[in-house]
Amino acid sequence: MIENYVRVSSIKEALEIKALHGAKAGYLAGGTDINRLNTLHPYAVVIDLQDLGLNRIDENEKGFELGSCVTFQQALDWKSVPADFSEALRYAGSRTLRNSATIGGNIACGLPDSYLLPFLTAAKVRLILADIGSEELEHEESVPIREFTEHPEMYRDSLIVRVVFDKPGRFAASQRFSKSVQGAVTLTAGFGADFSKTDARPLRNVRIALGGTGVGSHEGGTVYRLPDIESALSEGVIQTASELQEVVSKATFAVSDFTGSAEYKKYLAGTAVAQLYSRGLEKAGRGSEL
Amino acid sequence: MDISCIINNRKKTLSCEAGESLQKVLKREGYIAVRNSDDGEGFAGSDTILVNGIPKYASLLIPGQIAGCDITTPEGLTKGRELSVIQQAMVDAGVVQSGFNSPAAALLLTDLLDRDPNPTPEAVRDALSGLFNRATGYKQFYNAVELAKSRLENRAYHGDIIPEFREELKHVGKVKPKIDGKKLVAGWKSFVEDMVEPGSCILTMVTSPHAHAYITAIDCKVALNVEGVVDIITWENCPDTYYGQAGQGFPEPSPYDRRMFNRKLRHVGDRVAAVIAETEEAGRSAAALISVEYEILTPVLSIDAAMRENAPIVHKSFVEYASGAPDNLDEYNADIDERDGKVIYQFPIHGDPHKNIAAGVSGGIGDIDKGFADADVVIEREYETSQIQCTPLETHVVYAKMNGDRLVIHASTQVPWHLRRIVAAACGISENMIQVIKERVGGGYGSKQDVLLEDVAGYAAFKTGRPVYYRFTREQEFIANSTRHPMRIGMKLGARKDGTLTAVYMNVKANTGPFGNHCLTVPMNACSKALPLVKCENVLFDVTTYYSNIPPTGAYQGYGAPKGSFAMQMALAELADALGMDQLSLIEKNRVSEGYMLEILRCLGEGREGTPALIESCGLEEALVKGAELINWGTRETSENPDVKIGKGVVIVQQGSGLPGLDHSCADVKLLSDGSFMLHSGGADLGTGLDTVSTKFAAEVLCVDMSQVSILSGDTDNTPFDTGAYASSGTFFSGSASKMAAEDLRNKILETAARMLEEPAENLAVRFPGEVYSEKTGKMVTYRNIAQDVLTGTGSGQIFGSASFTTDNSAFPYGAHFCQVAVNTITGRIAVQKYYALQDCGTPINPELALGQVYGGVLKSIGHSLYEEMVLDEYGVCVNPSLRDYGVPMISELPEVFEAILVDTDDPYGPYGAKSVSEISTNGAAPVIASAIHDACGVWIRDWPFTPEKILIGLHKL
Repeated sequence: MIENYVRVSSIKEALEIKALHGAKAGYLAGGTDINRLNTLHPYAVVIDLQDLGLNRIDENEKGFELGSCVTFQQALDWKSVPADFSEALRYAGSRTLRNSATIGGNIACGLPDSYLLPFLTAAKVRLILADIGSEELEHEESVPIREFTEHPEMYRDSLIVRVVFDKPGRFAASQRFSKSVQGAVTLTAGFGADFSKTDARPLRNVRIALGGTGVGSHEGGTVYRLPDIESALSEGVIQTASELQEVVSKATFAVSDFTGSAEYKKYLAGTAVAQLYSRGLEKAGRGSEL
Repeated sequence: MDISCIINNRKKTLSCEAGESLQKVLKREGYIAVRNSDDGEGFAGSDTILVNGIPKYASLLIPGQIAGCDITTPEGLTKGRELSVIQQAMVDAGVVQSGFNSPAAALLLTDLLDRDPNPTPEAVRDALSGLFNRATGYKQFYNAVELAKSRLENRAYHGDIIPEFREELKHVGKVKPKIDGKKLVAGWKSFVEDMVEPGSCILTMVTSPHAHAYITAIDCKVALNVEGVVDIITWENCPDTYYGQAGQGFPEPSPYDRRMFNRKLRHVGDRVAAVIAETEEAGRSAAALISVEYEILTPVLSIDAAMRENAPIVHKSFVEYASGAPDNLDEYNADIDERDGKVIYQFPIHGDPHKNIAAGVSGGIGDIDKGFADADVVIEREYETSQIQCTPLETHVVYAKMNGDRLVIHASTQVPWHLRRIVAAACGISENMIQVIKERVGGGYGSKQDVLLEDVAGYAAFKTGRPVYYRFTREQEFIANSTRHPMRIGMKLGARKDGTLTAVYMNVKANTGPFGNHCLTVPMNACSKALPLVKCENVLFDVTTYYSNIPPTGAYQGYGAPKGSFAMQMALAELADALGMDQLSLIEKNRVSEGYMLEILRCLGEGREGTPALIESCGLEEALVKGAELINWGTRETSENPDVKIGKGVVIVQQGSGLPGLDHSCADVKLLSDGSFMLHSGGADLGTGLDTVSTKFAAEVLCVDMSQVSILSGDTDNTPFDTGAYASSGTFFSGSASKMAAEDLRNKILETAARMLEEPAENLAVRFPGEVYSEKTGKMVTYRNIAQDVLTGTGSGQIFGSASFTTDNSAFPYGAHFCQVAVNTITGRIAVQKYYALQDCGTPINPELALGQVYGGVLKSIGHSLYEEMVLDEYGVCVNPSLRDYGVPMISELPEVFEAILVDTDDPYGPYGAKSVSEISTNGAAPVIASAIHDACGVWIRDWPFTPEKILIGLHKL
């Protein structure tokens, strides 16, 4: 139960309050998770970030940066939002929810059924985090989202300031499966790679990221990656979509629950990743399969 | 803490706790239209507000977040008593029915039209994407936006968006604002929660964590000492009276198988103890301090488990009969467990509780064996339906208080009189000691036919003398509210090669859960609304209903019909497939038509002998012809995506219009001193527009404007008896009573006018706008003059008309549903591309509301078919008790093309030719979607819901 609400006027103040209260305190952006029924983040102290100006979207020559308090709807309304990112943002099917839910909040909460994490992991975004150092000086560091999600314990006091999309040519997309648009998610699959139109090696830096209800072990991370398959694909060991489908299905860890059987989730994971891979190849002009 | 902000253009300081939900704070501050439907899940949208002009869920905000902000609540949309253009458009388009979150919808549409004065349909869908609307199926919101958009440009615009009927009538069949539409959309005081006075006690229920257990010890001493606790009720100190919670006519065809609190617990969420406390916090603290010890029993969670030899017995109870007890009852009761209590049948319904059988019935016509022997083709199939939640936006709620020695119950109910009877019995007091006031109902759909909270809250108020408020949380609504009975229905059909049916056998097994609410009639209804759709001389049915430890079941819109319809229509589709025959041709070959005598109804009475009925009106032919045209029946559609297969389906559906021979409605109308009228109807308008129906009837009969008739309904002290709003009885029964009462009054007005004008009454007639005139002499007298004449010191006294309506005549509504689905054979995803629901409801009295009923009913059943399902674990715990996890359909789930079409028929027994419209609409989606799925990809899915996973299994991909 929230007992204390603090609206801060600087990042430093936010970090100091967080440091003071430790795990009892949490950063409050939109509040769609922290204030929600049966939240998994029942903080006693909440640190409201709304006055910090973290709701800007900036374009630059490498790509764009989203302030962590940019809402889903704000990002969707941005004229340059990439189509595949737009699709991921719309997984939050309610516009009213999107008006409150923030990009940073969705990342920080790190829920298995996150709308965005599989996509953002596939896109290899970087997070600009603010921290207080040993001399109580505020500093920022740039952390790959992979690192952030795999080692949340290292960043539990950090404040996400910006989300950086700095790989403009990269293919990244995701698919989400649920019975109804806003129903409980069965599986979200993200796939990203740097495709080449000309190289003999058609793709590098593959990321496969899975989330959902009862998908992945979540030991040490909030999205489930398949690094061996990522490498095999990068190295050309796996070439066809059907091969990829088979190995992803086999490798996916899933449990049966009210959203579907384990077998179904494994099938979906393989199918979705293979379809996204084919889409990437097609977009790169290399046909649907090599 | 104090939070300063601007609310509805006024500076405001809110005193609140840091972590309180903003919805609660606003509600406490008097912004009652910021409602709660999901306890802070951030899903249903009843709590929508605008923060600096942007729609947000108030329950996902804490007060500090809005400090310095500009807030608009729904109350901010009206100017004085004047609705905004958008609010009025919503009323006129028929989207304000139960109305619980209509104020929130008005805010969302206001935001939309502010952002985009000319929105596309996609933009409308996006704007409403965060709003759950169970009643009207979203479709008419598009009309409301069109209407509002046009009126914002031209205030005088009336539009022509809804068809009207019966040119010769002034009100009936015409689009007129729903009479409670204004207060509902504006968010004015309407619902039970709005009636709660400050200082009222809160009832907190301690519930069972076990599906099947005995309470071996319960200790409330510590809890009773918590400051603010007024009383605690348990099985040890509650009245020792057995009753049922099903709000059915007396004597009920459902057993009395529960006390207010039982020593044996029969489902997760069953009542253990009620804490009556002065604050919610005190109630919660005390509830946590009640010490309970349980003897845990093996739960029975399915029909198979209930049927099993040596199965745990849910009611190892002492069985009694109010009448018709079998001779061997003493022997039967020899082996009981006293802790199980009693099961009391009002009359025999073939129950055998010691074998987990709550009820059973068999019947038929003709010679079934001969029928199958005559068949060229016989198919046998089995279909299963799942447990489905009604999910009204307003969860079950009651407010009970004392007025002197009388108990006053503000209820959200479909059955005020049954409620009074049941609460009186439960409390051990006579009915004259209780007044039930039915408030506006924020969605019922059948579940508010059952008396789920009023017994305990009423008793608590009566016992303590304190006002008591009790409201289900959303989770309690899932685990303790009545739901659709899960059923397994075996179908065996025999037919000749040309498709002529020779025999139909239907074997219904139903799961009634812990108690026998509607345990005979819901499963029987699966037969009585499915079998009479076809002409077949040899028909047999068996029905058996089993007790178990799943969450409770009961009435849900459609009653047993959606399940029976699924089985029957699917079996017909599968028979067509087996015969190599077109599905529509098979339906045409066997369907009933006007003038057909339904002999099968002789054995389908509700716990008593039924009556055969002649079909007096039937719109099936027109519905099938029109529907086939609309969907291009017979044309195979293809998708650009080779993995996507497209298929079509068709089904026919029927329902009843109330229960002839069982239902009973009364009304009276008074002539007031200025010539206007006050109508008292026993009918319980649960948001469907019944009060508007009754008002229209009275105004039509008396030839006055509708504004000259006011209505009071569903108040047991101030209106006459009515069995209630269920079984699609509203228009046919309650409406007929209002019409007859107005006719009675009209006759009395004519008699008085005859005396005043000194003319024979047969020369006189009433005419608009409220006068009596002589067709022979042209003399005239106004209603005002007549009223003043009778109410002077020398007058004859107030003139009033009254009526008591019963009938043995039936008016069956019919319909044909067509749909087109696209099935992705790689992912299993099913998309409903087109859905046409063609409904024959006789004369649509309120066409816009009738259409809303159809859209709402269809979308509910699309939900049951594709998304919704209560999932229990091995211990009987519901693992998905939230709107999101359960999977209710939102506007995103609307079919791409979705049309409800009212087929015009005129029934001789219905008031002004009307038949029912609401329930029937829920009967089509499951079989029509399932048969279209088969047409698309060759997979028969025979159990709800039709998930992508089942498609993939059918395609052998899993």
